[in-house]
Amino acid sequence: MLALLRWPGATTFSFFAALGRVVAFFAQATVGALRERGGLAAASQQALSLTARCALPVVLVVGPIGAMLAMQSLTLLRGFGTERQLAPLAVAVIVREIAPGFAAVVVAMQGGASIAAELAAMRLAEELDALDGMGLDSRGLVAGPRILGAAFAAPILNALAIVTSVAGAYGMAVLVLGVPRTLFLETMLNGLTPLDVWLSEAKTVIFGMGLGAICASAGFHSERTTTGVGRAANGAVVTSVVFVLVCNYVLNTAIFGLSGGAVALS
Amino acid sequence: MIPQVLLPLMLPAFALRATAAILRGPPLKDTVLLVSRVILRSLPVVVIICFFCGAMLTVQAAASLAPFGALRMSGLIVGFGGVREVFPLLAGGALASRTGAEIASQLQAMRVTRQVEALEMMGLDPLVLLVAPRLIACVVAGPVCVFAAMVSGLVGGQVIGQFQLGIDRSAMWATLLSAVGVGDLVVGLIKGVVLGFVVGVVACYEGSIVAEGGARGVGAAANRAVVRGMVLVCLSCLGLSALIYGRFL
Repeated sequence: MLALLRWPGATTFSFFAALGRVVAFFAQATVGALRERGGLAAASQQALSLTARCALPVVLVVGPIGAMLAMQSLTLLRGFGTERQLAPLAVAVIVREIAPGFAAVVVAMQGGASIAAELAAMRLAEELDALDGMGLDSRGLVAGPRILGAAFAAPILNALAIVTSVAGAYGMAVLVLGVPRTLFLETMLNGLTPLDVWLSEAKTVIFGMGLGAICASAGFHSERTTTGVGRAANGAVVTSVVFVLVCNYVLNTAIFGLSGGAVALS
Repeated sequence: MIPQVLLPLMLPAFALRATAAILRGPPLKDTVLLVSRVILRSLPVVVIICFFCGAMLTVQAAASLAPFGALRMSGLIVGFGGVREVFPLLAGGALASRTGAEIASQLQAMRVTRQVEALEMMGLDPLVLLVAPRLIACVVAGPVCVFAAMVSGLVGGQVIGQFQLGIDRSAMWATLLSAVGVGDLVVGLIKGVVLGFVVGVVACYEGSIVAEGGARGVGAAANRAVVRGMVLVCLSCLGLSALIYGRFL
């Protein structure tokens, strides 16, 4: 009985302890990276590497989602006799939600897992201890550039996700379902403002920074065993995906207002 | 190392061998334990992800519909799009990231520490002993996760509609469920079985192949299992939706 009562308190306490540890780690690592000579260059290198590794998975994940969105939206809109609204609706949903959300999820799965696994393997091989032993800042040298790299890479991949997803929606709507090409192309930007695009990009920077910190922290504090490396990668991916979706909801509420649509962008 | 271009050939071949291993009778006790483990470890992730996704979809739908005075119709979009596409897709993604990575890293760690070779030396088949129980666990967990995803997503939409947007409770439930038919639930469960199979095959394949050795190999296997699992989940969802909704519903 006592254990049952203790469980919620212990879970809440360990959640906030883990959150505090990630926030503190993020601050130490990023400040350390920015203070290191060549820290920004290392971060840019990490961003390029992440972008190169994640580009194909982003295309393969987000393209079909755009196509599914177009297919189901057309079915729904036909019920109201408003098929003409397909392109603006699909493109607005892609830019506001689908692209930033799923680009971040793919970065978490591909880039985040590899960040966690790399750092965990370095911990296991005592490479991080060696850096600390030489008086160097292992957080700033190793983790910081990866966190900043994820923050830089996420908006680039979001732009790629927007293009791919719109192409997927176009392919399904025009080539498969027979929506007129000119109608799709002429109306696709009607539901969108430049602010939507900027907010979408800003959201992915926050997602990238957050998931970079979660994954780097998971790898940095992993167990020193072979299975610990896999466990770190696994835990990092799951936590990052949950973070992206919870953060997306919180940001949506902040952007669109608590009463939904009170600050509608259009 | 197997070249990436051969993956489209190697994966179906491995899927066939793994399915044949299931028919040869994997150990019952291990299979039951793995089924319960996979379900218990994946469900919390699926529920949390889909609850917030339902909440996010509701806020987004409300923002789009409020200017037309149709705030109360937000539930329709969440129910329709969520149950048909978004929640099954996210359930598959959660299964890939939680279970797929775990299976791949477990099997790869066993390969790195030569436990798999030891089994082979004893004349035992790792496909029957290790792969088949994990594949069955994923196939059983798939529909359970999809169903849980649908329920938690709809509850997320309901909670946000009622408490954040101020829509009447019964009106929100009515719009949420108005676009959901029994056929959608059946399709969701079929998708769950397929997605579970896909995630299981990819994870077992990535864990079974001889990759780079050591701890880095374990991390890389987990990474590949998650990403390739997610890509195949998306492609499978699109294929199934086009096949089922395009032709029959």
